[in-house]
Amino acid sequence: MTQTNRNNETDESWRLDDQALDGWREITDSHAEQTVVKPSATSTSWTLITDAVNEGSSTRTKSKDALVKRYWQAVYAYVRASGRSAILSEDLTQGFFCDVFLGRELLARAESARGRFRSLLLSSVRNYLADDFRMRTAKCRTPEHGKLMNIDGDEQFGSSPDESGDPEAAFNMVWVDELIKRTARQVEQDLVESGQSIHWKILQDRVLSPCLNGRTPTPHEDLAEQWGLKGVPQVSNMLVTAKRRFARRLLENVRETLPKNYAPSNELDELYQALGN
Amino acid sequence: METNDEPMFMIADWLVKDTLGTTTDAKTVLTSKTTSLVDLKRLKTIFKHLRIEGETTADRRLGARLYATTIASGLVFHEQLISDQSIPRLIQAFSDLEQDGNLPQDIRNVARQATELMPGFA
Repeated sequence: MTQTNRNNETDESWRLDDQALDGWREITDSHAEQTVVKPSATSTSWTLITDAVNEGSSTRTKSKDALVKRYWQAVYAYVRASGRSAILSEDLTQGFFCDVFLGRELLARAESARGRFRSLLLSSVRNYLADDFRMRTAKCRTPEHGKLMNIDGDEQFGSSPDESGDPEAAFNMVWVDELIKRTARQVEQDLVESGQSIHWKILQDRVLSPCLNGRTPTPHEDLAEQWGLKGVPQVSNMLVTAKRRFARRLLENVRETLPKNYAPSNELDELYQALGN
Repeated sequence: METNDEPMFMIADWLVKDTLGTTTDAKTVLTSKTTSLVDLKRLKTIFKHLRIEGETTADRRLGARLYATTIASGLVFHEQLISDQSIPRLIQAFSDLEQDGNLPQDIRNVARQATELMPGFA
């Protein structure tokens, strides 16, 4: 390079102070590390499962209800995407939760096996639908000569699984949606309780609302003005703090549906692929 | 607090993507001649804030390195020195960058090139 110029900086904001380059190897922890871990109001899946199978627990029913509520939509999405009508899907989902999820001690098996809970739930729903399909078609034998017509339409008996959609993709989509929304609620609680409400608002405006609702992210400058912050850099760094909380909570939530030796990153990759598809 | 699940450069990626509205990662942005000087200055301000106000020790340490990297990148790819820091201080910062084995090799290369250019300013 033959000609190198010192850039004329008219904007004072670009100017540096000595502090910025000083002693980076000797940075001491003058800031209190924020390692506050708040107990989660939204119980983890394994906590709920363990409680749900504990016959002596006074909160057993509540835990079961919470689990059903948490996974209902994902199971329904699977059933619906497998070609069943809306009404039949509701009935089958209800049946699955009554007969299998609660009745056949799926939770107890899950608790003892401690495998991937998503896989267990998926395979259980798949088997349940296959059983249901066999049972329904067995009741309706095709005559030796000619085909039995259903005058009320084909939907009464439903299509065979995987006939009209991608049930597993539908299940995963709803699973991720629930996971993200639950994580967001936890992060909101964490941040508000630690006096970082503005961090939460920034995370909402810059990341969550755009991702979940398709809203345009609020510009950094507007957020800085709205919350009386010291410009864009402070907004950006507060967002980093909030994202870190979110990432940590998300990992916790994913990890607690996995076996101990299964890396959360693999599960996240798989879910990411599922969303991409 | 850092977790084992959090790669060192994740924070850098977040800041770069959020600041520039890009999907490109921090290492690529900071070592590319296509990154404009205006964007390098924006990032420099962001990283400076991270250096001073970062939540954790690791954040502040990373902020210092990334801050110096933006200056090095401006020098190497745009022949502009976007800093009023003293020359000896910058040479020391670039030298530290170059020797930091925790940083991506591409960034260390930019630091080395910037160090080589610095005598022209003395």
